Amino acid sequence: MNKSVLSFQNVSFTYKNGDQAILKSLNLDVKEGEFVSIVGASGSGKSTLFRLITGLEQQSEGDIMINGQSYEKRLGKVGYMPQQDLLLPWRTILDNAALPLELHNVSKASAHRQVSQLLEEFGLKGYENRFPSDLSGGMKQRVSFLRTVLSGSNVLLLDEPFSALDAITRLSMQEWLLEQWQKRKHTILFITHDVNEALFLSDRIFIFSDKPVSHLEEIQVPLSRPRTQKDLNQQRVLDVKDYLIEQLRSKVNT
Amino acid sequence: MKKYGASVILVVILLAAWEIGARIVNYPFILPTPTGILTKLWDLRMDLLFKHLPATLSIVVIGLLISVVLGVLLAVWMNWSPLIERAFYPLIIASQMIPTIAIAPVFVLWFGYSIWSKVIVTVLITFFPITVSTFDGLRSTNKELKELMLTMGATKKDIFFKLNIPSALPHFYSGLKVAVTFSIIGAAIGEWLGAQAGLGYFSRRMMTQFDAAGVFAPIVILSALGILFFIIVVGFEKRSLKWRKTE
Amino acid sequence: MKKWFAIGLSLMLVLMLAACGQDKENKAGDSKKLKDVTIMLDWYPNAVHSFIYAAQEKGYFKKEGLNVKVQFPANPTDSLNLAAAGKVTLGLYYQPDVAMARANEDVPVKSVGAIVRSPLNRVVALKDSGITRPKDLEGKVVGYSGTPLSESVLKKMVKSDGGDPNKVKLVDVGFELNSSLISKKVDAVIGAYINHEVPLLHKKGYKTVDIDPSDYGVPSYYELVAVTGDQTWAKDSDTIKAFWRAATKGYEYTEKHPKDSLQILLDNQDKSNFPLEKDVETKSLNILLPKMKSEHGFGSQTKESWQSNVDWLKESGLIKKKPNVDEMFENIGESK
Repeated sequence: MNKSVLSFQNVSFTYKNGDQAILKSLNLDVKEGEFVSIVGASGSGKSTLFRLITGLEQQSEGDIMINGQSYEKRLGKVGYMPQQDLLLPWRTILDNAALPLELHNVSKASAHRQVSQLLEEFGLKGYENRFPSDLSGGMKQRVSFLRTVLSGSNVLLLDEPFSALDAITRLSMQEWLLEQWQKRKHTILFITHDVNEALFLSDRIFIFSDKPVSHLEEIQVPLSRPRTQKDLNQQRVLDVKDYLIEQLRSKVNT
Repeated sequence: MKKYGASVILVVILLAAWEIGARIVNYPFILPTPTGILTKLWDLRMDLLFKHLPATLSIVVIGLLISVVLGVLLAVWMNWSPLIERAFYPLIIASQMIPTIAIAPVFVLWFGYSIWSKVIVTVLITFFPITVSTFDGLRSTNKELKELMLTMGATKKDIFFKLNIPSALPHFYSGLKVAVTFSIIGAAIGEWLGAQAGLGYFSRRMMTQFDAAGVFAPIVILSALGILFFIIVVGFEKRSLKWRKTE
Repeated sequence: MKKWFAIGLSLMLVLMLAACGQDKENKAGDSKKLKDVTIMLDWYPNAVHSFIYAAQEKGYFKKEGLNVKVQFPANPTDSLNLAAAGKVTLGLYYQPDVAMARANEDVPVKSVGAIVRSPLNRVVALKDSGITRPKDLEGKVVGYSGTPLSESVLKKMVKSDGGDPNKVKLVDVGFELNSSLISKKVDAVIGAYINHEVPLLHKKGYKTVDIDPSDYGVPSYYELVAVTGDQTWAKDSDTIKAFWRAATKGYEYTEKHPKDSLQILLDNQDKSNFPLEKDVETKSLNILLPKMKSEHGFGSQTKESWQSNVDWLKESGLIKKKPNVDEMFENIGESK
C-alpha cells in the first residue's frame, strides 16, 4: 500500500522554443492511493508537470517512473482529465465514455457494457444516447471523469476539473469525487487554484514556487477522513490555509 | 411550410415584375416573359424531360462522384504532407482561373466528344470547393482534443479516423453544398463541347434560333435540379450532423 | 447561356462607353454636326469588312455626315438581337438566319443590303478521306456548329445526291471546325467558309475537297447581309441610306485598290480575339470581291432570292409559317 506509483528523479525540462528551464533536477514521489493537490500561480509549471507525466512532453534529463517503471513512451499510461470537458461533440455520452476502451482495442459491445454498468453510479443513467450539447456543465464533467476512470490506469491526473462550474455544483462534485476515489482507490493528482478545494480533497499539497522548479514545498493536510466542509474551519486548517495563501501571493509578486 | 412563406412571396413579386417589365420592353427574342417560358416548358416537356435532362443528369452525377472522391483524397493528402500542400495548393487555385473556352479544345483532344470531355469540365469546376473545405476541415481539428486522445494512447490512425474526419465533416458538407450547384453549371458548360443532347446543349441551340423562351426553359429545369440536389445534401448533412445544435 | 448573355450585354455596354470615349475620326468641332451610327459586325474584322473600314478611313462616312462606330459581337447572335432592339443602327448577319428569326420569332429586323451574294459555306473534307460528293458522307462523321440550319443543309445535300441522310452522323464541334478535321475526329465538316477555314487549311499544308451546297439542291443565298431594326428603319431610313451610299463608295475603293483596302483592314483587326494573316486575308478578299459585285448596285436584293429561301426553309421544317417576304428587306442598294 505504500509503493510508489509516480516518481520524478532529477527531472529537468525546457520547452523546445523556450529559453528558461521549467523544471530543474526535480524530485517527487507519490504513493499508491494518495490524493495529492497541486497549487501554484498561473504559469508556474503545473500543466508542464502534467504534460510530462502523460507523455505529451519528454524530459531533457532525469527519470520519470510510473508504477515503478520507466517508459520510452508514456502516452496511454495514466488517466488525464482536462480542464474543459473536451467531450467529442459528435459522439453520444456512451461513445464518449467508451473512447479510452476503444483506443485499447476493446470491442464496442464490451466497451458499451462496461460504460453502462457505471452510468447510474455517475448519475448519468438515461443519458447514454444524448450528445454533450444536451448536458449541463456538471454532468459533462462527470462524463469526463468516467472516461478518465475507464483509461484503466491507477493514476489519474485531474487538471482543475471543477473550476468552470458554479460554486454550488463545485461543492457537490467535490464530495462525489471523494466517494469515487474512496471506492476505486485510485491515486489522484489534482491541480487547483482553490485553496479550500485543495484542503478539502487532499492528503498532501504540493506548492509550485518560482521557476525553474527544483523543489516542491509540501504540506500535509491536518485532517482525517471522512471530512466535511465544516472541518475546514478548524484552527489548524485555517493556519495552513493562511500559510498557503501567503506562499502563493509571494510567488505571484516575485 | 410556413417558414418558406416569405420566400414564396418574394418570388411571386419578382416574377410579376419580370412579366410586366418584359412586356414593356417587348423584345421577346432577347427577354422572354415568365409566362412565355412556362408555355415553352410545357410545349417542349417531352424532349426536355426525357431526352435532354437524362443526358445532363448523367454528366452531373458522374462528375460529382469523381469530384467528391478526388477532392477528399486531395484534401487528405495535403493535410498529411505539408510538402504536398505547398506543391498542390497553388496549382489547385490556378486551375480555377483557366477559362473553360481555352481549355475545352484540350479536353476534346484527350477525350473526343464522348461524355468524358464534358465530365472533366464538370470535375474541374466541382472538385475545388470540396478540396478546399475538406482540407480546412481537417485543419480545424482541435489541438486540445488531439492531445487528450494522445494521452489515452491513440495512434496516428486513431486520430485520423476518430478525430480528424468527424471534425472535418461539417466543413465537407459546406463544400459539398457549393459543389452540387457548381456541378450543374459545369455540366451545362461541358455540353458546349460536342454534345448531342442535354439541357445546356439545348439552351445554346435555342440561342442560335433567337428563341429566348427556349433558351430559358432548360435553365428553369437546371435550376430546379440544382435546388433538388442542394436539398438532398442538406438532408444528408442533417442526419450525419444531428449532434449539432444550431440556432 | 445566362453567362454568355450577361457577359455579352455588359461587354456591349463597355464597348459603347469605350467607343464614346475615343473619337479618333472627328476633330473637336465636327463631332457636333455628325450623326452617330453604330454597326455591329457578324464577327471580328476580316476581309469581308474591308469596305466598311475603307469608307471610314477615306472619309466617305464623314462626307455623308455620319460618325460610324464599328463594334464586334461578344455573342454570335448579338448583331441581330441588338439591331432588332434598336441598340445598334446596323448589324451584319446571314440571310437564312434572318428569315428564320423573322418567321419563327417575329424578330423585327429588315435586311437593307446584300454584301456577299452567294454562299461561302462549304462541306469540307481532307483530300485523303476519299470524299468527293455528298453521297460519300454516308457512314461518316460530319462536324458542325450545332445549328439546325446546318443540319437541314446537309440533309438536303445528301438527299439531292441520292444518299440517305440518316446514315450520316453529325457531331457538334462548336467552333473547332478545322482542328476537328485535322485531328481526324470527324471525316468532314459543314459550316467551313471557302474564304477562311479552307485557305487556313491549305496554309497548314492540308489538301482539301469542298462541296458547295448550292450545287446540291440548296438554293443560293446571301451569305452576309446588313440588317436594321424595323423601328430604326421607320425613324432613320435617310441615315441608313446615307450609310449605304458611303459604304458603296468604300466597296468601289476596295475593288479598285484591294491592297490598300486590305492594309486598312489589317490595321483595324482585333489581334487578341481574331488575329489575321495577310496572305489568308488576301486570298479571302480575292474570293469575296466577285461575290460582292452586282450589276444592279452594291447591296441590291431581289424578292426572288428571299422567296426561294423562305420556300426552302419552310419545306425543310426550319420555319413554321410563311412570313411576308416584302417586309423582310429594303432594297436600298439598287442603283437607279
